[in-house]
Amino acid sequence: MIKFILRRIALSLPVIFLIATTTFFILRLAPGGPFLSERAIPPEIQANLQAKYGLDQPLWIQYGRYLRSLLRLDLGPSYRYPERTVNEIIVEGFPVSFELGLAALLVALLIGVPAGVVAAVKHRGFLDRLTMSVVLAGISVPTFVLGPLFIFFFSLTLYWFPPALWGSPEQLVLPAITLGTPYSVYIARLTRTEMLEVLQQDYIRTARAKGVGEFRLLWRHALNGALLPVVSFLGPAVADLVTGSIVIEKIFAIPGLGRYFVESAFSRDYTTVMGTVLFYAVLLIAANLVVDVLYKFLDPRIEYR
Amino acid sequence: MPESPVLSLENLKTYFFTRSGTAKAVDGVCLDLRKGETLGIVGESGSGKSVTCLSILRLVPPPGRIVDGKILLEGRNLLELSKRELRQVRGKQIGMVFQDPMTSLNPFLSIGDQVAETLLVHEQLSRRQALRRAAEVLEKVGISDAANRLADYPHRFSGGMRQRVMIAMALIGNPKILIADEPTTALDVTIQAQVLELFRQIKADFGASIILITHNLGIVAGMADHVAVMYAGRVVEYAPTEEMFSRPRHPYTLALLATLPRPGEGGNDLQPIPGTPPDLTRLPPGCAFYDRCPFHEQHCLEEAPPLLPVGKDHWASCWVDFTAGR
Repeated sequence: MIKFILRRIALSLPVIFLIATTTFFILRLAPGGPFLSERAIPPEIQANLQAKYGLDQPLWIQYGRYLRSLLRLDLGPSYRYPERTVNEIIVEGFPVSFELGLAALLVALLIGVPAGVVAAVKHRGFLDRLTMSVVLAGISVPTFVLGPLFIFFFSLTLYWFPPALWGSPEQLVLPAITLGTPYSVYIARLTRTEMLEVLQQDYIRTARAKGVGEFRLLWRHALNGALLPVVSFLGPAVADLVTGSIVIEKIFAIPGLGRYFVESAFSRDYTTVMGTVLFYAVLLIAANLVVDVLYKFLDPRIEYR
Repeated sequence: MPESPVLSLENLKTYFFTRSGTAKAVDGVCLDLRKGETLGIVGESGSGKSVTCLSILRLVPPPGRIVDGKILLEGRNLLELSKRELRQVRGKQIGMVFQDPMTSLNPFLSIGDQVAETLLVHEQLSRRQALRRAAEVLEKVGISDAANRLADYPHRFSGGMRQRVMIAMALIGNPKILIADEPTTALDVTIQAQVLELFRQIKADFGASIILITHNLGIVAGMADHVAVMYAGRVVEYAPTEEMFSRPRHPYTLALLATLPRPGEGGNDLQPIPGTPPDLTRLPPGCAFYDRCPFHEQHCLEEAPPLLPVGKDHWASCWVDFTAGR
């Protein structure tokens, strides 16, 4: 097991290197640069800035420098926010996005799994149709519509939750639900499909023939198998959720990591783009590794060597 | 008056309501299972033998439904039980062994938990006590060192071992009746013999009545006290095993027996049954075997023959007595 984890970590190093390299060169291929803007900057200042960050050097030297600093886990200074490093930006924004992401994940699971199970059990019944209609609506309505709607109803009409900002638990509720909804409907659909599949299995019939009750049947015999695909979906989903969503962060004015993703790309803030992309990649790899390890506990047939 | 049967099916009808029509998988089956005996049910695929057995525990999957008849377990009609009462019959009064041990065990639960579960849902026992009983029963069905294998998962067991686990699972509740649906079909021939030997031993040790479904006449000959032959959802002949093999009275039974190799005659003159079984969604008004029957008469086409007594304890549904001229 330990060996498996170590090997997976070793294997992910080249992946990370490739991602770093690709991001680096793709960014340089994009037109523009961090210090070009509509407002004309005097050429001397322009040159000074370029020199300060080493952007006047040949590309391969810049690349070498970047890789060297990566080895020290230093993502470099941000060009847009000169007083901060990319590491600082991540350290500051990530906990917020992480908390919001986990809350959204909890929402997604707590709604998605039971809804999927109920729909499967009541297959073709009223509850199934109802759940699947809600799912369809949930998939069709984008979060930038859902967020304002939630704010309008639960905040401005019912006064249940604050409409925006960050810090208190109440402020977590609306953004978490908004962020979690698309995932919850996806999970509901996945759970339903898998559950229907599992309920057809011979071993479910065996359990029934033993006199096992419906609740125990679902809980002990069916759910485990049905949740395997959900768990593998959770790997990338978790990485997605905790790195923050610019839409949600804009709507609810949350100081998370998500906006840096987008803003840095627009402003050609090379180091911040590369830093956040790499950070996301590492999270994704880590989340998938956790999923694979979890699998071992869910499915006894899997053995890692 | 013979002893009243432990289980009797009266005019059982289980239909499958599919898009292409209603398939009459079981169409008026009457059967008795006597105490302590083994009843063999034979027939080819699709003859309704499995569905008959699933119907007994009301495990018929949709779109199948039991539409008529009675299933009397010691006089109590199982079709009238509430879900709760039914659960108390399943596993406790009637144990069931399914055909494919590779798919019939839950891959996510340990062997011990699965075998013990039958006890846990029926009796007030702690998990530890139930597991201890599970180890005992597993030992009895021939799993050595069972106590140390309780925590193992099914994928660690071979097919034959899994079938033993299935049998242990069906036996642990001490049921009056054991239904085995093709228990050896998915197994190697050598393992088959071992499992069949196990069934014989079970009958002796547990005193259970057994319904053994198979399409293997050899197994029936060796195991069953009575045989019921099914064709197109009906019992076409019912007799004591020896009588059935020596004096078959239904042309289908006769044809089935002709498919068997006989010692000393070589395997060259095995007779396949010409034709195919009828479409269960379009059963003819007359005898379902008409097309394939060498003895058919005009009358067979008009009216389906009922199951009638043709000898002592011997019933057959055929208008023609083909033994008459011999």
